[in-house]
Amino acid sequence: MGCLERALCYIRRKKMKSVLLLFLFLVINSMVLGTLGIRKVSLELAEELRKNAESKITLECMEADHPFEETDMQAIEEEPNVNWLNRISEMQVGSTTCIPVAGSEGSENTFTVHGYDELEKDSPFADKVYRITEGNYPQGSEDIVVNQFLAEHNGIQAGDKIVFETVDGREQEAVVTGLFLSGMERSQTGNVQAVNRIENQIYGTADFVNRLSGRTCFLNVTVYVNDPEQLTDTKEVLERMYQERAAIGITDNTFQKLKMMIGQTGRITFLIFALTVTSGSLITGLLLAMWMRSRKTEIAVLISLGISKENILSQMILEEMILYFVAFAGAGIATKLLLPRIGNSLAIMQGNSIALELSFSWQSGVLCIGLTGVVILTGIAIFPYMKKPVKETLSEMEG
Amino acid sequence: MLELKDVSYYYKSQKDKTILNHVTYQFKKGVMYAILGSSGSGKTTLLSLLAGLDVPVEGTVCVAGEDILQRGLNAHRRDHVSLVFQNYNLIDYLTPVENVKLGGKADAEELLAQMGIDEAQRKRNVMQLSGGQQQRVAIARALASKAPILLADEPTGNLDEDTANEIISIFQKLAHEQEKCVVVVTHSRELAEQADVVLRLKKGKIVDNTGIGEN
Repeated sequence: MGCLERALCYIRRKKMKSVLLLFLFLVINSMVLGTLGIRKVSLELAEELRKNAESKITLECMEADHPFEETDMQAIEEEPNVNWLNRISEMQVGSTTCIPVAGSEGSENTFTVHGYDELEKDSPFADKVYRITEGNYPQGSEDIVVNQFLAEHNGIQAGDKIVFETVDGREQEAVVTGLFLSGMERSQTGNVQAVNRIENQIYGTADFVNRLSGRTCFLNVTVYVNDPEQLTDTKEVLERMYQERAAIGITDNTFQKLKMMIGQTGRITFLIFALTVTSGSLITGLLLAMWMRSRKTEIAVLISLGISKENILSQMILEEMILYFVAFAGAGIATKLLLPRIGNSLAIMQGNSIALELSFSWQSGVLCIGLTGVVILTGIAIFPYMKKPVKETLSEMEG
Repeated sequence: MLELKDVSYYYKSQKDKTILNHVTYQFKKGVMYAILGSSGSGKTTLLSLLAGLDVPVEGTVCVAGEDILQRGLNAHRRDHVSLVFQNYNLIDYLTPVENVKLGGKADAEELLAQMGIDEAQRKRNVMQLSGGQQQRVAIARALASKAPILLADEPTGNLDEDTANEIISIFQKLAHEQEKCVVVVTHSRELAEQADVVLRLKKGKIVDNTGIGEN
């Protein structure tokens, strides 16, 4: 009889031992695969978060007559941790085709035009203070969005054109791509100057404002970074560069909050993983040691029959490996069913759906490491009885 | 066939207590030997050395003139000798047929049939058989290897008189009809009387031997 045949007979006929070991392996593997699945996702989330946390440094120009210029933008962009810049411009203009909503008595009938490279990121639209009610955000250098009340006031619709006029007589045409509303228009008092009224705020791109003003300059810059972990370092660099010209602040609340949660999840899963592996190895090792002790006679008899020690060792290892493999397959199915549920609960935390599953390479890794562990534990458990002289074991038996 | 050449054995921690002291003896095929001796006389040690389960401190054990160490103990156990124990030592998770198959490639069913184990018993759990039946399975297992030497350690020690007699007669047949060299270690005078040669061990030496195999 070959070692595989004997191993299969042992598994089939020693049902209690086999079921107990199978169950133990199943629990260990399920927990290991489950915790690894969560750990993998938490690592991926941390990486994703690092990329998309939108941690940023804001530079607000303190001297209106000394704004940031193109050379400043280039200098900032050259910093290694800088991902991209949201340049923000602002100016006050009049219009030949559009009348502002009247402000306080004596206030000039002018508009305030705000320009952002990405309007959705750092403007009141980002904070949902303003919302687009019709049309789209401005994309091109002539696009703007105007307040819905101003549009009604002037009979403007999305797609219409407005001509703006600067103090020095420069004219610039703009296309209305959308209308917005803040909801606070009616709550403004009559004391608010026309230029400050919500209805008279125009939003376009930074390039539009630059074309309107005839020069490339920016009042504020928001610097988005690649690695939020190095946000403070980047801030310090920018402080050295613009400490005297700008008020510099950082915003990374989202990152810090999520980082803490993901870090906690990672630590907990690692702890569960470590405890599972340690206790699993310990229990398996003890069980195997106990069972091998009861098999010392069998080992001695097989040796006395001329079966090599390698063959006997192979049989014992095969028994555990077969059980481990079956348990691993069961655990794989169990975790495949369970992980999506865990993923859903994590999704609440992250805000998006999470594909919580272990890749084939991770599963193969767990299988290989597990099988190696089983081989080592079996080897350790059987070693004393392999080493013991057969004559001694048989003499003990025969009394 | 199987030869002890000036074999001595003692535990290295107790050198003054010699278990076998310069024993020289030649076992022949077709003869049934019985080794008698009091407890601690070295009977089981002698059998272990013959079986290749241990090696002598001094001297050599030879089969067909070749030292068993040269050929390898594993090969010696597999090819030259087969063992029968007092406690049968069957593997409890194997059926009688599977136990016999452990011994070698011989037809297990046929061997068991020769030993009087019927078909139903052959497929049963080996532990559900009676002591006598288990010993028959153990003998069948020993025969499966087709080894020319059969070594038995107190093979009738746990059996009733009738069953013991049956087992002894099986050994006699193996020696006389199948030309095997059968060496039985025993306390039993009845068994010893059925052997062709009786060897008595005392203080690690063969002090007396009677029968056709006298050396």
